[in-house]
Amino acid sequence: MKTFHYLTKPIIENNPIGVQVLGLCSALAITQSLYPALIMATAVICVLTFSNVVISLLRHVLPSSIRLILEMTIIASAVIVTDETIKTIAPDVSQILSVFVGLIVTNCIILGRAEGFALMHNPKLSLLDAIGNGIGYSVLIILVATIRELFGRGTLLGEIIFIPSSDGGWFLENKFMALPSSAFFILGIFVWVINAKTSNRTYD
Amino acid sequence: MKRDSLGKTLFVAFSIVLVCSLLVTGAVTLLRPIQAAQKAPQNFQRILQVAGLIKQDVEIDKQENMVELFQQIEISILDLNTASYITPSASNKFDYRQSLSEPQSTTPLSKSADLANIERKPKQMPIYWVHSSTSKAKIVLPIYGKGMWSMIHGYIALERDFNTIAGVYFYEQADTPGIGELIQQSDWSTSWQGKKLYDANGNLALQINKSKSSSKSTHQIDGITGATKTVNGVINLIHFWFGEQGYRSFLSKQRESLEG
Repeated sequence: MKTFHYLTKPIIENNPIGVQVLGLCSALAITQSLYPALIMATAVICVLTFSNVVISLLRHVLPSSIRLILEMTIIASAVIVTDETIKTIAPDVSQILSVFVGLIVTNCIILGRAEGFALMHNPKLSLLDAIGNGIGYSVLIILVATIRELFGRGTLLGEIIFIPSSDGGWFLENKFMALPSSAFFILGIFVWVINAKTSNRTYD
Repeated sequence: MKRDSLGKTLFVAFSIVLVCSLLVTGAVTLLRPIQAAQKAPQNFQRILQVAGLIKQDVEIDKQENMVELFQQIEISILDLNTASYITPSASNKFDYRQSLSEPQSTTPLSKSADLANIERKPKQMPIYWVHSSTSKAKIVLPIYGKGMWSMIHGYIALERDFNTIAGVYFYEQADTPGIGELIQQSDWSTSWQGKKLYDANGNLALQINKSKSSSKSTHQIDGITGATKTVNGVINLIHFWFGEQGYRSFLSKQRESLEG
């Protein structure tokens, strides 16, 4: 497999949400509107990149008996730093994201990539893999958030796109889109489409 | 395996934990002061408004811009009895509104001295120096006192001569809506700009302008029709806070240091 594939494959073909069905908890919770989703996506990319590269660098040093604990320590540190940074530069968004930035610690994608990839590959490939998976996660939550904000409130990033009927427009807000359960259905459609397009899918 | 020896395991674990803890503490120590500055945005926003650095009624939207502006505010804590600065460790955290409800941080006022009708006077008050790239630093002082029905809280900004009013903003009151409430309107507060608190002899001279016809003096402020009692309350609290009980001795000290 070409080096570049490590970056591109997780974006669609092996998408962490769409194909591996990981990290759903945050994908449901923070996709109500686009702006928090963008911040969350950035946070996940940062944490994933940091943890994957660091764990890959330490892969020959990590004692296998306490490997998982040390991996979690590294991931948790990255998450705390990211959380504090978000609280500083975007305090209003950190209110919306609340615990979900902190919960990146338990996001299966992060530990999954650390255990499943970084421990067995060099830092360069781990970096590509982390960015690829981060973008894969981001693409899906951004799409879901776009759909939910656009049809739920008629806005995108807070800007009015569809004029609501209460203001003389034609758009009727879809209250269902405001509920986390709507993300289940939208994600379901994406999972279906991705699986239908990538026919060589295997469960592993 | 070789790398699983107890010594190495402990060494690796300790090193990783040490580096990670340094990372976390570093980030928190670096970012917490900025976050603390954002937690007091409302208060700081009012101070910036009264100092004329931002317009009134602007929402805190441009966060980055605000953080920059907040850094132009320098807080000092003033001991009202000695008119000198106190150097506490946490002037950022000193909340005078909080201290007003604590008996140990206030002293009772006699009826004759209690112009502002506040019963107890705080021992310490925060004062804010607002630096700006375009003009000399202004000083912003918190003031409060009884209006007609309610306690009025506000800020007053003074120019560098410690006499000329640069701006005033009463951010909290519960006087009659539509009448006493008008003290919050920018129409009225802008009429304070350029007025002087003290006359040439250093006497507190700021008054309500009672007669409309008389030429406007630099010590007279127009009243508000129908809100006489509220406006009187405002003038009384000005006279309290800029009299002997309040900031007067501090301000005259500052003036002397300017001249000298």
